[in-house]
Amino acid sequence: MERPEPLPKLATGVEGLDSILEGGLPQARTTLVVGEAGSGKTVLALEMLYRGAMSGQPGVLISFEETGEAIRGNAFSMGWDLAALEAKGLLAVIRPKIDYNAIFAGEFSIKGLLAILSGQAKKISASVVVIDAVDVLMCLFNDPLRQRNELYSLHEWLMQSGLTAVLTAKSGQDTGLARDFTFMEFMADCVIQATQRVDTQVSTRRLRVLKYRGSAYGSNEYPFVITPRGIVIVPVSDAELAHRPLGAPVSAGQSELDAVLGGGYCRGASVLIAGPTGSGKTTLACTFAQAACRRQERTLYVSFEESREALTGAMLSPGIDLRPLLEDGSLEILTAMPEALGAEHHLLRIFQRIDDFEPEHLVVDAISAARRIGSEQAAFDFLIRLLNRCKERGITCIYVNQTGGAVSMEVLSGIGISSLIDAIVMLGFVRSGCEMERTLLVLKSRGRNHSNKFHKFSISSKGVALKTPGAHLSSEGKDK
Amino acid sequence: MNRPGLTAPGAVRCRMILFVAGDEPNSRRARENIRAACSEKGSKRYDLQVVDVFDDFQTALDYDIMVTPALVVLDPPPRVTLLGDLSDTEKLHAALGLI
Repeated sequence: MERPEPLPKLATGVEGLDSILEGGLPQARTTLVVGEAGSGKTVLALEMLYRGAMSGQPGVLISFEETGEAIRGNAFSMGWDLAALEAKGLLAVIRPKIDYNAIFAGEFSIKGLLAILSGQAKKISASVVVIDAVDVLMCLFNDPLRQRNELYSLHEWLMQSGLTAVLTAKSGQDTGLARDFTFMEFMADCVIQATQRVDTQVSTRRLRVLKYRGSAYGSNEYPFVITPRGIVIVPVSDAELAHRPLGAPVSAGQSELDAVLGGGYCRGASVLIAGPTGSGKTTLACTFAQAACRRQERTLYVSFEESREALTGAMLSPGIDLRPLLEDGSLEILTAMPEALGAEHHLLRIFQRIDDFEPEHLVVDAISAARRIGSEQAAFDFLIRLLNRCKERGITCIYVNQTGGAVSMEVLSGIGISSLIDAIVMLGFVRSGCEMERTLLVLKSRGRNHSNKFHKFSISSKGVALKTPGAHLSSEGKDK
Repeated sequence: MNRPGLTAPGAVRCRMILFVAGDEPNSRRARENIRAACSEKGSKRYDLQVVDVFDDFQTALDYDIMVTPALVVLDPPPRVTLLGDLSDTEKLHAALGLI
């Protein structure tokens, strides 16, 4: 016996999927995508086909569910011009109408479909075929045994054709096909399941590879999002850490603050600015952003708390005018209501802005809002993945976190996330006589010789200022 | 199924397409069954076109033929599709207006 060749694979081009599939779909084999209605299986199959065609692998799509117009329309909304590919002969979209009034007058088989598929595939020299909603076609065969036989002959034909096939089928009890799924899963070399679940009022689509004959694969359930550019899957447990080392110091935006920090923050560092409400976290973050933008270092400000107008307006009182920075394009503000989207969607929106804008620095105001995105787990995943992405790109991150409510420090210090935070600046208040005084403490600043004292911190129309480093404050916060 | 226009059989011409898949047993039976049905009342009234989907997939596509054998009765309207080897003579005769 010869040693088996490594399984040839066809990259799907769907972001994140190929790494889960360890290279792509099994080439010249059948992949089955199962899922309930609305789980995204059609978009997934369509995107594989589109990406394939774009990379010069012509494909045939036959859909028993959506009309050709609906398919082209949906695809177009994601920027995929199927009609253009059809015109170039890289794609054929077939949308047969199933005649439900047809009279059954004896035995029949799906040879018609096979002839059409084979004819179309030959016509455009296709290497990929997608059969969307094969279960709809199977409704013509109202007997499980016949359905099984027909699926078997489809499978035989696909194997002989050498085409890489993707079949989608609805799962769930309402299809009446449950018994045949077991069979279909048997005949497919790769089975992907798509689901959509509502978790703490936020709906998330997930994808899982149920089997992949002859290949390793990521076996977790991966959340995915249908974005305006298609499907994006970010493997959360992609254990390979490709973090860049911390870079040269970068100014926190104010000289006294830089001195306390031992020369500023580090480029590519993850910095946490924490404190109760009103302690000056946003002001501190904007001080940094303004200084960075003035050096023409692009900065992306993700605001979960305030609108763009509210933020720029509020920053005028401590003398930080963000408007010219927005105008010259060095600053971008991305606003989002935490509850408006699922964690995956938020993450992907930020990732896409990062890809497009290529910022050197990122401010997230505030990560405490992440919890409002969904469950505790969702917030944690969101943060760790954002952290990882920025670390890989060497983007300096300022995470603003409101303490004394919302997300507690444990969320950040637990399960490995604290090791990813390079610097922590704690803001607070202390009573001084009959006044409240702002305080600032650098709890940690990796790689920098930072002050470990509480500093008086003030905000005026000229921005932030630190008073006499080392000035002692109330006994409760005294640092020896 | 009640179909209008079949009350005066002598005047009606029946136009239809039989889709077959090569020499498949059920396709062969369908050919035999349709020919038998036509000859019962004289083939002059019937205009039968046979399309082998493996030779001409485009016509199959035009008529949304996903399964074979399939008989599409075009004339007289409305269009009726019969799926199968046409061994169900009763249904075939009804569709052809023979009963």
